[in-house]
Amino acid sequence: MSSSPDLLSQRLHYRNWLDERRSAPAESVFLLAAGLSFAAIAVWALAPGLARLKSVVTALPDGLAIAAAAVLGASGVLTVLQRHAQLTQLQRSDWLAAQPISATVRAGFRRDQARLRGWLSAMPGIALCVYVGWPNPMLATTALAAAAIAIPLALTRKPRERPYRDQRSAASVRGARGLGILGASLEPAAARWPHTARFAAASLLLVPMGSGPVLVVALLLIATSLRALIDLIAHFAERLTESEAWLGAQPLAPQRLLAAFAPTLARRSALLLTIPLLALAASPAPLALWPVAAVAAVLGTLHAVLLTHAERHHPIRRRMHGAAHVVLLLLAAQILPPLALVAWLTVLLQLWRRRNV
Amino acid sequence: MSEMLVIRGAALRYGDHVVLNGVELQLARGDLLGLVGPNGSGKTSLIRAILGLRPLSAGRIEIDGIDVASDPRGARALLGFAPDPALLPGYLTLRQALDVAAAAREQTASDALLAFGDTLQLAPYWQRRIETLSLGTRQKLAILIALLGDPPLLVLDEVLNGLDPIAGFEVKQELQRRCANGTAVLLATHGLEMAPTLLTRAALLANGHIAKTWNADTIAQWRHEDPAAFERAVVATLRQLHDFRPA
Repeated sequence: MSSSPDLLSQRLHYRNWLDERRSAPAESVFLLAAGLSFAAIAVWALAPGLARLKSVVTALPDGLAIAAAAVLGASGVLTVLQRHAQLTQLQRSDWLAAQPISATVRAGFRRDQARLRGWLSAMPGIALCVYVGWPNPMLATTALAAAAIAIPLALTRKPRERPYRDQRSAASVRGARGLGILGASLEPAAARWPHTARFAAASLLLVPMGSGPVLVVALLLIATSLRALIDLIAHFAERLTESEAWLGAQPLAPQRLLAAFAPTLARRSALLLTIPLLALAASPAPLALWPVAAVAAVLGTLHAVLLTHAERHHPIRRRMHGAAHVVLLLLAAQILPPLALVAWLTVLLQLWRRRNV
Repeated sequence: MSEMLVIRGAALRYGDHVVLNGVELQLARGDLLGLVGPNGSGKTSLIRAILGLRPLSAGRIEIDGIDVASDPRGARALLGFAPDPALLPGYLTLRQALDVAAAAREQTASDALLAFGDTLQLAPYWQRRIETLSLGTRQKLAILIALLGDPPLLVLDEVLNGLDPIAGFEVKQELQRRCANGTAVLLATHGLEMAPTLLTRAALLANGHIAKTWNADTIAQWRHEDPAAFERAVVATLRQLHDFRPA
């Protein structure tokens, strides 16, 4: 048995999850089959992209390719820092905080978890470098070395506790007061950077054969901005729901609550939409990329607003879910008709398990 | 005394499950009514209905003559409610959250309210993020939120939980002070032992309706003669209700 109660607790959590899966064999088999189908389709869809990417990377100047590999390899650093800080904060007041557990044991658990998360975050990038960089080993070596040096280094940084001022006046966030504090408190895009970076890296698979560096950079900028925009909207929906929960008993009109978020949301959305537009304009991108970018932004918005926020509102829950399901079915049917039913049934099953329909 | 809160035939159900069934309750200005009842008896559901956050399936709730169902914002402007400490936004500081809640009422936190916060020993915590604060400190913030704008009706659900002795004493004093000035207070609580010294009336919610009430005279008599009598009376009544079913 492990001497770390955190680890033991985590193992029991996984075991309970497995037991739960075993207790519903039909559902588990269906979900597994659906997952494998999607993975197979993903591999089938991405394979040509990987081949194209290989040709693109081969054509890139060595310096740029190696720098990109280093960035991919080190993408785990922010993940490590965030996970470490998050666990440190959690352990200060969790249910085991009052138990006589050695601080070293708990710190060890934190470091192991953060390191694991960092490597998991860096591995797709490294694997990509190994694949596209072959037979030039410099790319893979750079990515691996960057991760191997950066991840342990990130763990040596001790999460800081925020200093506090002993005063009761002047409550403001970046100049905002009153309800505006809610909008100003939206996390900056950088806070979700590891997540965004992974998405942006995956967008490299869309690079057309024979593309030059300008198009590669433009595509990265577009993907990063759109992902950040989707994250921003999802985060806003999350914060709006939280705010409704604790301010629900106040005589507050819904439009005033929305208006509290509007300035920050408008400013950041404008920036995150301008960047991809400029990148598209500056690149020799085919016109077809414009509607792709627009559809991605609309889908992200639908996902964030309809499924994250609206499902909390009982009176419109069924209609909202109905609309989301129709959209999902229509979209899936356009691309992969045989999988449409599987995709729809999977989503329905998950919602039913959460008692949301 | 004029009625500040009137509940008539309030019924509430979740699907086929009946939570409230014909609740009748009135609260006058200056009343400090304790709403007691077993776990799952529907106290929190009734409070959410009073706040206009849970529509009734039948019946009517009025706050100072305003129908909660038809004008929830108008009704909420007259009441103060302490949100569940677990729902407070962890990413804001205590002072920021208070300002946001005040802005939601189109007000600012008054000096008197901030001074009361200091009385509750919040001075070291104003600029601390809520996620780093203890349950008791969050509870103090929730109470300050309820007191914003000096509303004529306070609806409080287990607000004395987690408070340290000084804060608990100060909050009870403040509630009594406000009642003496005409504020009506509905306090859902399991703290039966403090009831005779704090409350002016009490009501027991069980099986979806008000199963028993105790008036001001009875409570005053217990206060002077037998402070433990209220607890015994509640337990005895609950034991008589053999068919009690959790909501």
